[in-house]
Formats: sequence, C-alpha cells, structure tokens
Amino acid sequence: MMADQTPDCPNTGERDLAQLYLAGRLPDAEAQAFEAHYFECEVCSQDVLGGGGLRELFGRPAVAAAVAPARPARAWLPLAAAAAIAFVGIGVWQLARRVQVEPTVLRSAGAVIVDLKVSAHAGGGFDVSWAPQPQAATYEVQVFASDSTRLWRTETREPRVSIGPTVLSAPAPGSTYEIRVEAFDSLGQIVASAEVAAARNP
Amino acid sequence: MEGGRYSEADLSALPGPETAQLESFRDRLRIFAARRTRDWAAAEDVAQEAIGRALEAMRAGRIENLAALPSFLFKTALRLCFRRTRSAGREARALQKFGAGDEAEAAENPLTALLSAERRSSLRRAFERLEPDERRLLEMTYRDELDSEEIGRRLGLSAGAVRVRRHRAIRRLADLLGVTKQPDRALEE
Repeated sequence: MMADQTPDCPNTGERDLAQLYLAGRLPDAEAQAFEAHYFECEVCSQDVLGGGGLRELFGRPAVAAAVAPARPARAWLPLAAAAAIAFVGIGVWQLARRVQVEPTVLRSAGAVIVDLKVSAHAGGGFDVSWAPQPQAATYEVQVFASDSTRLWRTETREPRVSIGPTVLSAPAPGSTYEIRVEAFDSLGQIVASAEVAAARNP
Repeated sequence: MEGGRYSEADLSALPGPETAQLESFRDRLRIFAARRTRDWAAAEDVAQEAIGRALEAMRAGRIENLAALPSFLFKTALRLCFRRTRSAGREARALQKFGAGDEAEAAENPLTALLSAERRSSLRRAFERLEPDERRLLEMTYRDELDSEEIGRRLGLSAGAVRVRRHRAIRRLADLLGVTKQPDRALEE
C-alpha cells in the first residue's frame, strides 16, 4: 500500500470539502469560496467532478442545489404594514423605551416550522428560535426590511440564531422586518419554512 | 439562454489553443451553474456563454495572463447565474400568480445530467476495475454519504488517510478513463 501522502492541495487531507459541497451541506458563503478555489485547483476540481460523476452513478444528483435566492417582491407587505399600524395604534410601543417585538406568522410554504419565536435584545437585534425539524440538515435565516431589501442572512445547523443590532440599524419608529426561516434536508431541498413579522421601536 | 450570444458552433469554428484551454473548464462551469440554477439545461447555457465571453476577452487582449482565466470564468459564470436565477424567479412568480406554474416543482428539478449515458457506462466499467477497498471507500462516500471520520472508524483509518485514499481512488478512475492529464474534463470523453 502506498503511503497516505496528502495531495498537492491541503484541502484534500483536512476536510471533506468536495463531498460536503456536492451534498449541498456547505454553508453558502463557504460553498462560494470553495467554488472560487476549485476553479483554480486541479486536485479539488478532480474531486468535485469525479465525485459528481460517482454520485450520479449511485443514483444521487451530481450536485445538490444551492438554497433558493431571496425573492424581492413580497405579497405579505400590505399585511405587514397593517400589522405595524395596528401595533403602533394600540400604543404598545409606548410601554417601554426598550425594543419591542410582536411576532406574527404571516405565511409559510410546505411544512411549517413551528414554535418560531423572536425575542428582542436590550441593545437592539433579535434572538430567533424554532422547533427543530426532524428532516433538516441546515436552516437558512434571512431578515428583510419593509421594502423587501434583504438585510442579513445566515445558515446554521442549530434551531436558533442571534441577529446583531448593526443589521437593523437606524429603524424608524414602528419599522417592520420579516424574518424568514427555511429548513433544508441533506440534499438541499427545502422541507419546511416559516416567516414572522417583527416590529421594533427605537 | 436569455441574452446568450455564443453557440457551440461559434466556438468550434474558432479552433486554437485558447479554445482548448477554455474547453477544459466546461465541466467545472456546468456543475457550478447546475448547483445554482437547479436546471441542467440552464447550466449548459451558462457554461457556453461564459466560455464564449472568455474567448472574446482573450482575443481582445483583456486576459493577458492565463493564470487569470479561472477567476474570469468563475466571476462571469457567477454573474450569469445570478441574472438567470433572478429572471427565473420573476417568471415563476408570474406563472404562480396565474396558477400556471409551481416554483416548488422547479426547485425539485433533479440535477442528474452530468454524465451522458455513454459516459456513465464508461465510468461504471472503470469503477468495477478498481480494487475492492477503493470501491468500498467510494461507495461509502458517494452512495452512503458518510463523512471521512465515520468511514475511518469503519475501516480502521484516520480521517486524513480516508481523504487521501479517496482522492487517489478518484485519480485512478481518471487514469482508467484516460483523462488524468485533463482532470477537469470530468471522467470520460
């Protein structure tokens, strides 16, 4: 047996990058960095293309799809605006000068992620948590402003994230955000999702 | 494709070292684009368009150093995919609005077209010529989707040794298929 010497690229000996990439298990930012790398690296390119061919030979997709890109137009906007007006109207925002959050599930696709909760940081930002999904390998969390601009996104294997205050800087009183959580299985297919509207005061 | 300007005929009519160099990236571009567009036909289009644009740039002297070619192709393909997925998203939403489409259905489009039937057959024959321990390792990785730590536990190897042996097995497959000197032309031509 030949000695197990690491090939020219150190990635090959240290992590299962090509395998995770093909299985759709790399977080998006890491997947993109790996793509930029394997365009230049013959060793990793060989692992990606050879692995893709073998996956197909074994009846799997050559490469699992990337998570869906953000969708700019949002049918929930009128409802979110109405919720924000009502929220402000009942004077809840006057109860304290600290951040207030009133989550309302507005829409979901496929299976619903249940128990989606949002709680506010004292200094701004939110903690978001939800019930673990049995089929989920990863979760994607995105925050959108009321004009549908995506402010932030991350991927996590845990059923919770913390969203820092800098993501949501300088909000107008009663500003609303949409926080969307999508669960993906090991093949990168969406298995559950939920959205919550969160409003906060200065 | 949307906005596509380059056909395979355009490229084949321009033989030369640049074309051969660019062609060696085609499968990398295809798999990259397939992951993003979720559509193998769209991935073919992206690969074709990116290669066409790179050829144009090389001939115009905008890519003087070949070392810059991978980065040029990567960035070009990224832009093409981004534009395409945005257009596809708009189209899917419009169809869904009128009850004529299903975005979920598009998202589930399987990416099972990396290999043609002929290439798959060649790959299967080459795979069967590997040593039993090489086949077992590749099956555990790509059929069972086990990570290197788990494979190592089962085979009594370190995770690092699993990774190195896996790469070596893939390289041997490429040898058997006669593509070792062009590893980025996938597994068989």
